[in-house]
Amino acid sequence: MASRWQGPALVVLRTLVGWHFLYEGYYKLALPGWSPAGAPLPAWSAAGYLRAATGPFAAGFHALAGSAAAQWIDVAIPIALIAIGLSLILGLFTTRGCQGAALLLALFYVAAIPFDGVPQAGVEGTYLIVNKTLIELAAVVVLLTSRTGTIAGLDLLRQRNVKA
Amino acid sequence: MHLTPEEQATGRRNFLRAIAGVPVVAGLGAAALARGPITGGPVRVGYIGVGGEGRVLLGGTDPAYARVVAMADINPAQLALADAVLEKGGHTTKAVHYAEWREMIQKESLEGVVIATPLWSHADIVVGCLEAGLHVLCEKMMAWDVAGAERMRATARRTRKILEIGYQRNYNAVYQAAWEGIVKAGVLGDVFLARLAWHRNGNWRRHGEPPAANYDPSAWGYPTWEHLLNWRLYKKYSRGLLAELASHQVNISNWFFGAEPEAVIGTGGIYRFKDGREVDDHIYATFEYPGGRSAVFSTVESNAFERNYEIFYGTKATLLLQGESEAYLFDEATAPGTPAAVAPTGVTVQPKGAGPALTASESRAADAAGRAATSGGATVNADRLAAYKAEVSGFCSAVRAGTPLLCGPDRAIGSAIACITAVEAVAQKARLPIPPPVAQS
Amino acid sequence: MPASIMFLDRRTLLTRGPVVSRRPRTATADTWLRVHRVAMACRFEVLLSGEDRRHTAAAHEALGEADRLDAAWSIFRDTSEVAAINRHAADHPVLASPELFALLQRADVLWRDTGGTFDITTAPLSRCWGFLARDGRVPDADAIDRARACVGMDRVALDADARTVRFTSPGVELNLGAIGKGAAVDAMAARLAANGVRHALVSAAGSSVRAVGGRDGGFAVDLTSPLVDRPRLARLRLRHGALGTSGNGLQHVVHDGRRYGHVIDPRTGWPADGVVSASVVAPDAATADALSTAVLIGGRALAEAWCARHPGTLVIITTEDRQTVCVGRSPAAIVEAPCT
Repeated sequence: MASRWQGPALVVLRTLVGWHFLYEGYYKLALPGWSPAGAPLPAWSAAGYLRAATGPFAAGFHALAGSAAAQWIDVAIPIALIAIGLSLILGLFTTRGCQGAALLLALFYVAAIPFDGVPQAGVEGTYLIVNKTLIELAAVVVLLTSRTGTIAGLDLLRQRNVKA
Repeated sequence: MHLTPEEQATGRRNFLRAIAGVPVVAGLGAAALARGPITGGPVRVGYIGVGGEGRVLLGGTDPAYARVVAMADINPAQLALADAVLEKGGHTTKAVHYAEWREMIQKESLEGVVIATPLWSHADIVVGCLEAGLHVLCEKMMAWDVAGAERMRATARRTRKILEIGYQRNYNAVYQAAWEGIVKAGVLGDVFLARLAWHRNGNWRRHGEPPAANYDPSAWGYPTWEHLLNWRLYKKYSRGLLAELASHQVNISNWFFGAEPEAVIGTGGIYRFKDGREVDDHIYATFEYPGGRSAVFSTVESNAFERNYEIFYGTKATLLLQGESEAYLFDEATAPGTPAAVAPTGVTVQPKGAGPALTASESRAADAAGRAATSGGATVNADRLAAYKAEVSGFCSAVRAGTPLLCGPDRAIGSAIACITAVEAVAQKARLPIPPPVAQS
Repeated sequence: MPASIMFLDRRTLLTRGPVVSRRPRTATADTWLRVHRVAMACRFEVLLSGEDRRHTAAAHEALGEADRLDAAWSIFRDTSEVAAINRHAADHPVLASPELFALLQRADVLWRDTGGTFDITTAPLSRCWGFLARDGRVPDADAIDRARACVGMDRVALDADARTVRFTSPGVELNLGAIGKGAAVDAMAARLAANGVRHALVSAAGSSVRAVGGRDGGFAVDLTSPLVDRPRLARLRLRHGALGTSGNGLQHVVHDGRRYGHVIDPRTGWPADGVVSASVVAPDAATADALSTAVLIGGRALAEAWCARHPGTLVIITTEDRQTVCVGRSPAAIVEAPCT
C-alpha cells in the first residue's frame, strides 16, 4: 500500500525535473550573453556535443554536426527543453512532457555512454554505464507510470473539464 | 449548479493544487534574472584619440568583450595605424573614422567610449560623453586641473554613468597579489618610506612628419603640427612628467598606504634638454602621507639604470615591484644567530594557457635569477600589456554586468590632485599642502 | 505577476532587491601566480591560482622551510646537522633532531623495501665518479671497491630510544640529495595547509612536486626528459599527492662512447642504466623522490614489485628505447597522455 506521501513526492520529483529542463532551455536561449561575474558567454551550439559523441550511434551524431540541419538543432533543442520544462512544472499535458523528456534524455545518454570506469579530467564523478543522465531518465519513466499531472497540476483542470 | 460546502471546499483545494506549478515558474524566473546570464552582445565602444596610448588600449580590447564601432582622432594618420591594430587583434568589423568626437557620439549608437587624448582635453570630452549618456574609460591623469577633475567626478555621479580612469596597474595581477597577499597581509610590517622611480635616458621630444603637407590642427587648439606632436612639452596641454609618469606611481602608493598625501615638497628643472620646452626634464618630489609616511619620487631623462619601480621599505620586509611585471620580497635580517641571509622571494604571473601548470622532469639547477635552467610550460611572464587588457575587459564587464570598478573617479582623483599640486611645488621649489578632494554628499 | 518581473531592468532589480555581493571581476582568476625562491641550489616554487592571491604571504612563509631545511641538511655547509653527523658518527653516536631522525628512519625503511637500490649513503661512490664536484670521470676498479666499502645503509645504526645515529664503519657519509628536496616540499605543503591554503602546487627543481588540493580534477603537469625529443612523455592531472622524477639526462660522463649517468646503483657501484626517466606518484614527495631514484636503478621489475605491494602508487618509466609505460594506478593522478 502506497504511503500518503507518495503523491506529493512524485509531484516534487516532476517539478524538479521540470525546473532542470526549463532552466537548461532558458539558459541556451538567453545566450549570447554575459555571466553575472562579467565574462562574455558565446552563443550555445549543439555542434560540440555532436562532434564529441561516442558509442553505437556516434557516426550519426558526427554527421548531424556538420550537416545543414545543425543550425535548426541549435534552436530546436532549447525550445524543446523549455516546452518540456514548462509542461512538467505546470503539470500540463504531463504525459507528453514526460515522453519528450525521456526521448531527449535517452538521446543525450546514448551520445556519451560512460564506458571508462575512471574519473575523466574536467568531469565530476566516476561513472561506469550508469550516470546521472540515465538516472534522470529512469526518474522520468517513474513519472510516466504515475499520472502526476492529476495529483497536482493544470491537468487537474483539464480532467475536470473533460469529465464535466 | 448548487454545490455543498464540502464540494466547494474540495473544488477550492483542487484548484490550488492545479495551479501549484505557477509560483514555481515565477520563482525560477526571478532566480534566473538574478543569477542567470545577462543577455547582450559585446559592448559597443567608440575610441576618442588613437595615438600611442590609445592604440595600446585598442590592442588590449578583446573582441568578445567590446565591438569597436568607431574611432575619432584629429590626425588621420593615427586612424590608419589604429585600423591595423584592430585587424591584428581579431576584430572583424571595421571601425568608422571621425575627426570630431562630438560628431561620432551623435551619429553612432554607442554604449561606451575610451578616451586617450592629450591631458588638457580630458575634462571637456569626458563630461560631454557622460552627459550624452555614455559610459567612459578615460586615460590617466584625470584632468589638467583640479576643477576639471572635480567636474568629471560630479558629472559621473549625477548622470550615474560609469567613469573609470586608466591606471592599469589596478588590474595588474602582480600588483593585486602584492597588495592582497603581501601588503594587506602585513608581511612588510610598518612602512615609513616608499621610493617611486622612473628613470629614462633619452629626449622626450618626438620627431615626425604631419599626415599631409598642409595639415593644420589649429581648429582644435594646436597652432602648429609641432604643438600637436609634442603636446607633452607644452604647459597648455600637459602637466609634464609628474602627470605622465608620477601619477601612476602615486596611485600605487595611495593604494598601498591606504591614504592620500597631505603635502608635497618639490624641486626640479630643465637641466639637460634646453630646447625651448616648457616642462621639466628632471623632477624630485617627496609626497608626505599621514602617519609619518613618505613617498619619494624621482624622474630623470639622463640615465636609465634604475628603470622604473616602486619599493616599499617595511620594518619586517622590503617589497620591490619592478617594471610592472614582477615583484620581489626581501626579508629584513632577524635576530643574530639565525641562518645567513636567504635569497629573495620572487612573485611572477603567467596567464593560464592551454599548457600545463608545471613541467616536471629530473632535477634542474636554477641559475642565479631563480629561473629553471630548462624552460618548459608556461614560463613567459604576463607582460604589462595584460593589465591593459584586463582594464578594458573590466570596463566592459562593468557596463554590461554591473561589476565593480577597480579605479573609479573617487580613487583616481587623489593621485591627480597630488601631482597637480606637485607641479606647483616644483615650480616654486617649495613645500605645499595638498587639498583633499571635495567631499561628496 | 511573472510578466512584470521579466521586464524589470536588471540593474534596478539588483539595487532594489537583495544585495548580491560579488568580488570585483578581474582577469587574475585566469592567471598563475608563481612565488619562488632559490634554495638547495634550485628553484623552489609555490604555484597559486590567481584567485588565491591572498595566500601569497603563506607561500612566502612556506619558502622559509626550504631555507631552514637546506641549512640543516646540506652536506655542502659545515654548520649543517648532517655535516656534523658525517664528521662524528663514526667515532660516537650523534644525537639527531626529531625531524632529521624521522627522515633517516624513513630512508632506512625505504632502503629495505627497495632491496637496497635507494640508499642515502652513496656519497663516497658519487665522489669517486666525480659527480659531487660536477666533474665526472670513470674511476678504476680499485677506487670503486674502496668506495663500496663505505656504502650501505646497513652501516648506519639508528637508535630510536636515544635518537642517535652511529656509523659502524669509517668513511660512511650521509647525503640526503635523493630525498631532501621531497621532504622539504612536504614540509612546505604542511605549512601551507596549516595556513589555510586549499589549492597550491609546490615544486623544487621540477623534480619534486606536491599538489595541495587541485581544482578541476588536479593541476596539469607535463613530464619531460632532456634525453627524449618528444614535447612531453606524459601529461598528468595531480591532486592531493606528489610526483617525484629522476633521470640520467643532465649530469653524466661519457667514456669510450658510453654514457654514464650520475645516479649510481649502490649494489654494484656503477651508474644505473636502462631507464632514461622514472616518475612516481605517491602520497608524499619524500617517498615519490626516493622511489623515483629506486626505479631509475631497478627498472620496471622493481616498479612492478613495488606497485603490487603498495597499491595506490603510479610509476611512469621511459626506457632507453624511448618507450614510456605506466605501472600501477594512483588516486592522486589522472594520466591524460599517453598510457591511459
